[in-house]
Amino acid sequence: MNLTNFTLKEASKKLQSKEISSLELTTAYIESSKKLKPLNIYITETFEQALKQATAADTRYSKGQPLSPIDGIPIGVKDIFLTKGIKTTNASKFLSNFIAPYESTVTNNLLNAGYVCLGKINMDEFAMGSDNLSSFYGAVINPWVGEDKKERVAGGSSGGSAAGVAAKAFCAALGTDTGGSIRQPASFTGTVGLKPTYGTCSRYGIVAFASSLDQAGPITRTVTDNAMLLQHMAGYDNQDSSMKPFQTPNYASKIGKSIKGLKIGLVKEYLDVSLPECVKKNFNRAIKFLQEEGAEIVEVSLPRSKYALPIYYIIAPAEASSNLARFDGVRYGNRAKADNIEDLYFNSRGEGWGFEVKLRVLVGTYNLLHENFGKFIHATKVRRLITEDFSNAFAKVDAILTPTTNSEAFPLHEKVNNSIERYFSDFFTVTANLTGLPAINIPMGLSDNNLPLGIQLIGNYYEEPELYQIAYMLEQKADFKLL
Amino acid sequence: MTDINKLMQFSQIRIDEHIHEKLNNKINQLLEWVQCLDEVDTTNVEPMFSVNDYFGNVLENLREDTPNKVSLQKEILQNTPDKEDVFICVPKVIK
Repeated sequence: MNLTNFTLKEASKKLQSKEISSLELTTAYIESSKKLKPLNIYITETFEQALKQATAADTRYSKGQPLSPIDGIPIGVKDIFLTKGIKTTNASKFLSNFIAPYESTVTNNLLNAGYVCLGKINMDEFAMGSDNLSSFYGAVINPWVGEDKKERVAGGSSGGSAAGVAAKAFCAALGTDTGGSIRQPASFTGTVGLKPTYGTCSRYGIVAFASSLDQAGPITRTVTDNAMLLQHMAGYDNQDSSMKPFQTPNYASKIGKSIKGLKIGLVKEYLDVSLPECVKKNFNRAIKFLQEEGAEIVEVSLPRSKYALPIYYIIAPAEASSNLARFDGVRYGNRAKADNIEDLYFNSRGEGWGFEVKLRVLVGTYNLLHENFGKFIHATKVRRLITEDFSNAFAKVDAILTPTTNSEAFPLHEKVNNSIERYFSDFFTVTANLTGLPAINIPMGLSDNNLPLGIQLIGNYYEEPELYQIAYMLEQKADFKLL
Repeated sequence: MTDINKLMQFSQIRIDEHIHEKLNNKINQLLEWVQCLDEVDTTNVEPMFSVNDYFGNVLENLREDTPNKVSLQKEILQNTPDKEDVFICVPKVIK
């Protein structure tokens, strides 16, 4: 019996019935993680601490007092979450020795639920990227190997989290999503990844990239696991001023219920987007499943959504250039040699950041220059128009179905000449960040090359339970074979 | 065309000269691409800086501005690259 084959829900049940212990489960994942070393999933392993946490969980189970259904479950944490006393690098040379002085709210919630932290997981530097190639610690390798045997990226920026869940280095993982950073790697690795409604998970203690877009979410092997993990991540926190007080629902409450009569939107404008045949086939398969289960397919229009990516590349770098101003080499992080304070700032940032981070900070600085500020404001207005388009669509439908990405995972060593082409892998995902809507990737099938392809469901604000309801049905019908 | 030297100055980043051209090309590629936004009419449309802007007042959820008694002095200083006692050292600022 290989314990790493259990889903989170199965492992949770077996822990409760004492068929297995958290120590056994955690040990199995540590052994698995060691074998998976070539995939470069971890930045910092916390195996010793994990074994202690597992032992403590077992004590609670033996007393019949587990803290939650995820008590004793081994989880990987993207290295963007501050974890008190543990190195938190953000996959950057700048923070390569940074020990988090406090705990993020999301991981603190998980600690209160008894989770076992297996380690800090690889990602794109400062979460800026779609392929994990910008990590100071090297790229994550996708555990899936296609017909052509080429090594593939795991996607990004939560590439290590998605790869680790797919390859069974941990039972589930935490990611963050600013433009598609949970859903795109989930699509590339055949995992379930949710970006919740903006304001569902506290951003306190998550290194900020673009504050109005960043949101934490779970990456798991199944839809049910996803709901179970989100249950213990979400919740109002007054330390995040962009959150509004809300009652956390039972996220799994609608899983298994019929979707008969629900209205699912197909975006008229997306039907013209040029896509590989296998992506279209996969998408049509999902439509067929929805129809078979009695959902009504309704055409919706998002006329301004084609501007979402360009807006994103104005707003996200602008917010990043402002957020990253704090990394100056004075109080923490990389400090370069310098004779005066100005050189200290310039050299510390120049030495501590990789190409993509420098690029985005420069672009953001450009966007915020006095002479360009009008264009920045214009972009924020188009953002409102896109949000209005979605509001109009959600007056007619319960959820919107799109492909998650426009391709299978890219080859690892493919030369990237045009970074804009790569940015297009976020074409379908970025609108959910600009509008704040929840969206989930569900593994649907395989490409001609036998690599995973996902589909995306976008829901209305705070309607994650409905999203999980539809996602679960699609998961059952798709019968996607995990690694 | 952007002036990369000006942007580096404002962003306070030292960047090796050999990647200036590559960076400049990427920035210009990006700026050219986002020009398509000019065709959108945003007359009488209010900016939306955050999702909360869409639903009303962004400031309505701010907590009370009261001091937090938690002290993280020790934890914070352990990350400081150069310090004396509880002071952070930097190169001479006043000339």
